[in-house]
Parts: sequence; structure tokens; C-alpha cells
Amino acid sequence: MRIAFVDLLFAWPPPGGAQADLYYTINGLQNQGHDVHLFAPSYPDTWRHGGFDPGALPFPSTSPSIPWDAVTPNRLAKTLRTQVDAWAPDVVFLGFARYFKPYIIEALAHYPLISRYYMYEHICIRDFYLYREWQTCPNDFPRTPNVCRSCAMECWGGEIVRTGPQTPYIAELLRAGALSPGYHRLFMGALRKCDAVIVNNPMAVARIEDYCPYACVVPGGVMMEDYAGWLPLEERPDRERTVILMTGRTDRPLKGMDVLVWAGKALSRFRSDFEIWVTGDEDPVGEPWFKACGWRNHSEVVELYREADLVVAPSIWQEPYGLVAVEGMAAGRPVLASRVGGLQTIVRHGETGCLFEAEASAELALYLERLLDDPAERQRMGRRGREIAEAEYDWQQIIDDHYPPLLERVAADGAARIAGP
Amino acid sequence: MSEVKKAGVFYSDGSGLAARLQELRRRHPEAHVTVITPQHHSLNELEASLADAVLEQPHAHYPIREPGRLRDLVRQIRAERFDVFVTMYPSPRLRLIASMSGARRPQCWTYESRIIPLARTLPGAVLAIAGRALKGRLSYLYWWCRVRFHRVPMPGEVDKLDRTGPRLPRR
Repeated sequence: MRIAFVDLLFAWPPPGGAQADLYYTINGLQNQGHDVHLFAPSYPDTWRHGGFDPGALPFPSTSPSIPWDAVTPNRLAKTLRTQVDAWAPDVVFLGFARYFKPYIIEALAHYPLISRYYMYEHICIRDFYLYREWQTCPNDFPRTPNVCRSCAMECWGGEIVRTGPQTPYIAELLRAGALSPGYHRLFMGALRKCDAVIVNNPMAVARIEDYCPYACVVPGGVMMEDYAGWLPLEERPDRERTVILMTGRTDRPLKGMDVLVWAGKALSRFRSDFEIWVTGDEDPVGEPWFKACGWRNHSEVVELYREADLVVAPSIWQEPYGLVAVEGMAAGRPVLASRVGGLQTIVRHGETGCLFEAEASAELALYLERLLDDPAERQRMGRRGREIAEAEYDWQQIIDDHYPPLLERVAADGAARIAGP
Repeated sequence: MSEVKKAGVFYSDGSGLAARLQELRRRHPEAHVTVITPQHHSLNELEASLADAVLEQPHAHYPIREPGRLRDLVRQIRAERFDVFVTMYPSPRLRLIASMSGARRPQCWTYESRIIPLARTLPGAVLAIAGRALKGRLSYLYWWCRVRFHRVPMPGEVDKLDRTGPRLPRR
């Protein structure tokens, strides 16, 4: 089958989990024998999402270069449509496209379509976090568009005035016209044209299944071969201090680094046998037990996991998936994660790590203390996590389990939809 | 890319300095990178390893009523003769500082990873600031009216925010 992948924010090395997810999905489907091609624009005037080198990817790709100032949803949609049409795929898989996604869906609706949502873009137009006033937001854009438009306006109004509107996020929101009533119509129409919608957790399915023909969960995974050199905790040379690691976008408040810092502060009052390492560049503590390692690429992060004794994922929002927990397990480390979103489905409490309530730094400190005192328990949890990662979270296995029936279904349903009633 | 011999990063506040320095190093591996930072912000280990020099400033803020501070800062920056001068935010004050830096390419590298070219002259910067301010207010007014008065017809929709519509920002 010829499968075209379209993503507006793809970059490699990946700045986040969404890009890694798409990369491994394409790779896995190529390994299954499908003919794949990635279409992902690059924006020369950006410094972190600076695109990718097509020659460095293991699959064919096309990357039209478009200056950000010239980006409009219709221009992007037209460019991508021309390129995808020239390649003539059997199925189109849409990755991350945030506010522009409905436009891209409309432009490519003459193909069987799979739309992948990595955050809550299909529910929350404010910032895709579905998190308001310190709790999961009960509203969703398909059902309560006016509430969501008001919410987005309140949230971003000050930024629109201040930046005029220049920051990409706001510019994208306004260029897509996401606050206009017409956008809701477009959005709902686009959802109906997707032959399958893939999300990361059952809550996201429940919120969307009434508005699209078919919604399902496909979990993320890791390439177990990246972790082939994993070092079991018991085989690691003894170290003076136990390393507690937090990876991912730690600069984002919703990732909960503050919770870990507070737990660290509590522990540091009566013990000094640990260090907290984070992959951000901000050091909010200024104490010897805290180390900001800076942003690391994928292979460097794998090395960090080897160095670590414990992995913590203290997100305070409904983390859609929680790839860092899977990575920690694949590296054979116990994972302490907050009881939210996808994280609570990945970590098995008492078996592969511990679950604590979101924002409960005291509870996290308690679990950390317990595991710091008990190396045998850390080893047991780490080993069990590794076994589960091997059995359930290997990318190729996930692709083999989920995609063949999905692609068949989408090809059939899409053909029927395009042929019309 | 290779013509950049000297790059300056003006750190005023916030996070992400190391990420910018890493990217600057990647783009211009030959460049001598100087970080201009207020004295109270000591660079962490990673940031220090990415900078060739640090130009510490006694102040973090440069209010209009104390032009001497700004004059001293600009004098020091101009003496460095940067090819690229990077600020962390596109705020009016940083735009003014960038325009007076004498750099061939004053730029703002925003948190959202956008590179915004900044004006090289003071009148250009003032014009850009005024234009941004006007555009921002007009955009806000337009969208506020759209959201408040142009509703999606959804009869069952009830919520606190829905009844009041978006509020105007507090001054």
C-alpha cells in the first residue's frame, strides 16, 4: 500500500514525542513492506523546529521550504495537495498540524484519511492541553465551541495585544481563523471526513467518537534496539549518589518539574545521597543535588537513562501518552509517574514503579525515599519494567498489532466515502 | 553562515538560554559567542560551557528615566562589533537595544523557536514597535468582537464563560 504521511511540524532530531511517534510509525510501516513517503514543510526562519535533513531519514521525504511569514493554511494545503497528488497514495496519514489540520484534511479528503492527534487538538483549541483552572477541562470544542472560543480569547488576548500578533502559536491561531464561527464548521466537517482518528488514551476517544466515523487508541512505543545496550541496575558500578532523572520538555510547567523540585527539597533536608537530573537548561534550585543537563538528542537521552537509577514523570495535566515512562522502562529503570492520562496506563503501581497523585510532591518524596533506601526493590521494578517494555512497547510490535487491520478498514471506508452515497 | 565571526546573546530574563546557545553553536561553529547578562544571573554549568565570553552588566533593567544605564550598555555592546546579536524576546525595549547594537544581523530568537529579524536602525525599531502595537490592538479588537458577537449556533451550550463572553483584559 502507498501511504503518504503529512506533518506540518516534523523535525528530526525530534523536539518532542509527537515527532518521534511519527518517525517510528513511518519506519515501522516501511518495514512491513508499505511504500511510504513523508511530506513535511520546513520553515527556514525558526531555530528549534528547523526541519530535518531528508538524506538522514531512513524513508523518502519531501520538505517544501516555506518562510513562516508566508505561511497561510490555504497556501500550505495547496502546496501539500499538489505534492501528495503527484505521488498518488492509497492512504494519507496526517500527523501534527495543530490549527491548520482541518484545512489540510479538506485539501486531501479525496484520499482515505487517518488523522493522528498527539495532544488534545481535537478537543481544545486554546492550547491543546485540555487543562483549565488546575483541572481537566470538562468542555470540548465540537460540543461547546463558544465556550472554547471565549476561553481561547481570554487566554491569548493579552499576547495578541503585546506581540502584535507575532509569536507562531498566536499567529497560527489567527491565520487559521480558529476563533471565527466558520472554523467550527470546517473543523466538524474535517472530523467527519477522517476515516479513522487515532488518539493516545481512552478519554480522548470518549470525547471524540460521536463526531467522527471511527476513533481508536494506538499507543506509542520505543525502538527496543535503541535500548539494546541497557544496563541492569544490579550490574551498574556503585555510585555515591543515586540519580533521579526527569526527561522531556521540562521547561513546560505542565510537565511538573516543580513537583519534583519540591520533593527534592524535602528529601535534601535529611539526606544527601541523591541527585536530580533534568533535561532542561533551567536550574531553579542552585543546590549541588540538582543538575540541569540541557536539551539532549535521542541518543544522548538513552545514555542519560543508563546513568540514572530512577525515572520520574511528574506531569500535572492529563498527559496524553507519556513516552518518557516507556523509555524509562525500556532502559530498565523504575518509573515514578503521576496518576494522569496515559501515564497511569503505562506504569504499574508497585510492579514497574509507583503512581502518585498529580502535584502531590509529598507523596512523590515518600516513594523516592522508599526507593532510595531499597536498591533491591529498584532492581526488581527496573527488570520488570524492561520485560513489559519488551513485550508491549516495542514499536515494530505496536505497528504490527495495530496498523494492518486499521489500514484495511480505512482503505475500504475511505473508498466508500469518496465514491459517495 | 561562515561569515559570522562574533555573535552576542543578550540574556535579560527567562529560560532557554542554553538551548539558544546550542543552536547558535550549531549554526555558526566558528563564531565567538558572548553572553551579555545581568550580574545577578550566574550562568549555570551548561550555559557557561557554551559561551566563549560573558559580559556581565550591573543592571537587569534599563528604564527610560535612567538613560545612563542604557548608554553604558550600548557602548559596551557596540565595542564588541557583533555580526549577529540575539535577544530572547521581541519586546520594545529589547528591539531598541538590538537596533543600537551595531550588529549586522540583530535577531530575536523567541521561545516558540521563531527567528524574527529586528530593525538595524533606531527609527526602524521605533516604527516596528509602533506598527506592532497598532496591529496587536486592532487584531485584538477584531477577534474580541468576532468571539463576543458572532456566535456558533449551539442551543444546548451552557457555561459560565459562555454567558459572559470573553472579558476585556485588566489594565
